[in-house]
Amino acid sequence: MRSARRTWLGAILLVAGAVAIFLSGMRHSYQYFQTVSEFAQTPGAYVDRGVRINGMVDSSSVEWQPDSLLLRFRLTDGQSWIPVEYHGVAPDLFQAGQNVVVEGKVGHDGVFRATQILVKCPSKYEPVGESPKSSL
Amino acid sequence: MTSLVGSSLLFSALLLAVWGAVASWTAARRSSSPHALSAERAALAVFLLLTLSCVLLVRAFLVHDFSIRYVAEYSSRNLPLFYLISSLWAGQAGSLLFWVWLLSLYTVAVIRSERRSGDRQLLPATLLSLHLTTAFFLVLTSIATNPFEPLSPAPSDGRGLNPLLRNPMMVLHPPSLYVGFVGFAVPFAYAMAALGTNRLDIAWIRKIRRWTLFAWLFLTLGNLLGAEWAYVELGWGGYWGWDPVENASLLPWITGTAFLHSVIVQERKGLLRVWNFSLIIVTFALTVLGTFITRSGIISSVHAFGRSSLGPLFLVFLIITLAVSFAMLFRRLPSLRRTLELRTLLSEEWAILLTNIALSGWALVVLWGTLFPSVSEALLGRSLTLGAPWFSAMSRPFGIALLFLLAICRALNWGRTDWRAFARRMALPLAVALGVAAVALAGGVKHGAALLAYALAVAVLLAMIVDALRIAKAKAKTSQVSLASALWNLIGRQRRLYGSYIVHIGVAVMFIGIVGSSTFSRSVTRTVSPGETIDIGKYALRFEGLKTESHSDRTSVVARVSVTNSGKAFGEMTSRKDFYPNYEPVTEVGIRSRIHEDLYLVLAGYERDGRATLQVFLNPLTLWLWVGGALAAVGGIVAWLPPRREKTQRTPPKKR
Repeated sequence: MRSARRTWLGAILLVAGAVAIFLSGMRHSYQYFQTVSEFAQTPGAYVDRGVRINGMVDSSSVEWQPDSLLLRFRLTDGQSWIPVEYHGVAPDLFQAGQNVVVEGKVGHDGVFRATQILVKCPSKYEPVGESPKSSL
Repeated sequence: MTSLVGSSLLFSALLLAVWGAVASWTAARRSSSPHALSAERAALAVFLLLTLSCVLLVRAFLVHDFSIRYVAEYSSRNLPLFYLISSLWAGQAGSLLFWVWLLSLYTVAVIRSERRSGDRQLLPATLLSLHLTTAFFLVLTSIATNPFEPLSPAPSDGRGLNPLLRNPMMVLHPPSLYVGFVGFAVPFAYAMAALGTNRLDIAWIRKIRRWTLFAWLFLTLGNLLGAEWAYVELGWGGYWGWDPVENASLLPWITGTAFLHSVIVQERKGLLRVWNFSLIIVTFALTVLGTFITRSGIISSVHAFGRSSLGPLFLVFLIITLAVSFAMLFRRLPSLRRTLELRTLLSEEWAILLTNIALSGWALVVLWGTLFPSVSEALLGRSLTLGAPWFSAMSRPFGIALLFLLAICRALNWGRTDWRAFARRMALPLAVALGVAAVALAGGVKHGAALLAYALAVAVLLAMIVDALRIAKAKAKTSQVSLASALWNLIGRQRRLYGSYIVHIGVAVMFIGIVGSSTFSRSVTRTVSPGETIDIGKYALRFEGLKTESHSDRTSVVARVSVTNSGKAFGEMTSRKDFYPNYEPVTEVGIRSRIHEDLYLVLAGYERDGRATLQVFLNPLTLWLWVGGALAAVGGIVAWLPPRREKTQRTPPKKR
């Protein structure tokens, strides 16, 4: 019986240790997931914090410089917009009017520097444009 | 017309499944054999009706009946036959129909195998869970997302299959994943039957071994095919992005793997009985959750939850399943408890227990990360997400722990291991592993975790091979045959043991591929004019220019590149963008797979003036992920095959 108790104690310590490591890892890793309007209200709150923002690519704003691999566009949700810069190539489904998620940090100049662009709802199965995506 | 017939087929199947559940409940309660027979017949009838429904839907695809919404949304007149058939599982409604059809097929197979085995005491109660699950999925397909929903007026042509899905891998990936997902319903049903009828002995564990292995095998294949599809089709240079959809199919695989191992301890020692019940309940719940996540998009967009009627239905089913099955387990706890007799750490049961802890911990981490956006939205009112780097970092220690346990497990005995014998058996793998680490370190590998993983993977390889050969050698000596024929004989006879050797060798090989490609991958992205070159590693890629090709179903822009390797010609590579009507463009990458690395070319974009933006990846050792995966699958098949029957007499079911 005593050995059983010791086993349980060991198991609990093991789990507690794992949870502690796990939580400390999370503190540095999670990102806020925001809509453009939520973000635009208090952009200062997110300076140098990892953020994910969900919005639409403003149709007239996409600007691509192939030599420096710089992509600039405005991310909008119909009410507010934020300028986004991205070094690298956009995913296939990236295009004006498309719903995307940008991941990155906002600088003091208010420009959002994306480290990744995800095409929202990588709806491998569902027909694009069928689902009412704009209703957030 | 088809719509009406199809919907009524589904609805009749639903009624029959409900009747089947009632009948099997009665049969299990009062051990009434007429009811048991009725429940079996209901299962057969459900299977026939669902087969007809699937045939009807496939026929609608083949004759381009666009008055069915599902057909119009996922196919078109110019789609090749192959993809027309696979369109059955291209969307939500059809794949749920396919899911429930598979479940009815499994149910019939369970009945058949029970009739053969002669011992049918668990069957009525097993059928109860299977009928209830079938009924739930039929509620989904006949009411919430009916694949036979009519579309009026019928369009003259359909929308066509998503070009990303026009890939042979994608044709096979969903069905094998589903065969795996649905397959876990069988061991779950047996577990519930054992709990419900209070037959808590080893019988149910014996019955489910091959069912579990079968499901596990297909889940493994499904995940691998999915990874390979992502690698060749999504064009970001990797194969695993910790996307919720991927995690959804990984989770039941992890807990299913844990279950496959922990039942061995129950077979051998009669221990871990509560744990085994809990694991199979959780695994089944995760397959349902997985089906839900891949089919509803709840995680990638929390807001989809409210819109789709599927969400609440799945949630209710999940909660009821978990609540009822854990309540049943709780009721039997007094008769299940055994004192945990694990005297020494140096024993096989401890290794398996630790493997289980590692796998469960890993599953918890992945589950937590996958649900985190939804959980934080619910609790904090704002959605927080965890990215791929978090998942990778969290998975690393679990991977290393699992490799370590694999490396030592063959040197352990059941009960008690003499540490001297243990040291003797570990000497060779350990020495070689240290040697590998030293060579890699000298060769410039500075990444600590990668070094450790490589050393351990090599130790696993060696430990498995040495142990397999040790037994074969002894056998060759006693029966006076050559080593090769002794080995071949053993693989045939001791399928379970030798299957496990092959699986574990495959896993070690996979780790080599995963560590190499995830740790040491490099890439270059540049916009180049024709004639310019991009250098990466020893390769130089000269961009030869773009050309446009017209095909019957698409237009393609192709970038051609000629490659030299250390100055010597290395052939040509292409990558292209395909433009299909009604869809966004898709990129087809170029891959040159070699033993030690993959050269991976992506046409990321192009300009009007003929310049192209090319992305080149150098992914070390990626090939070994697929090789190891194939080996693991082969090992799974070997372990799954029924034990070879002796010719002279009926053999009792043999323990390995």
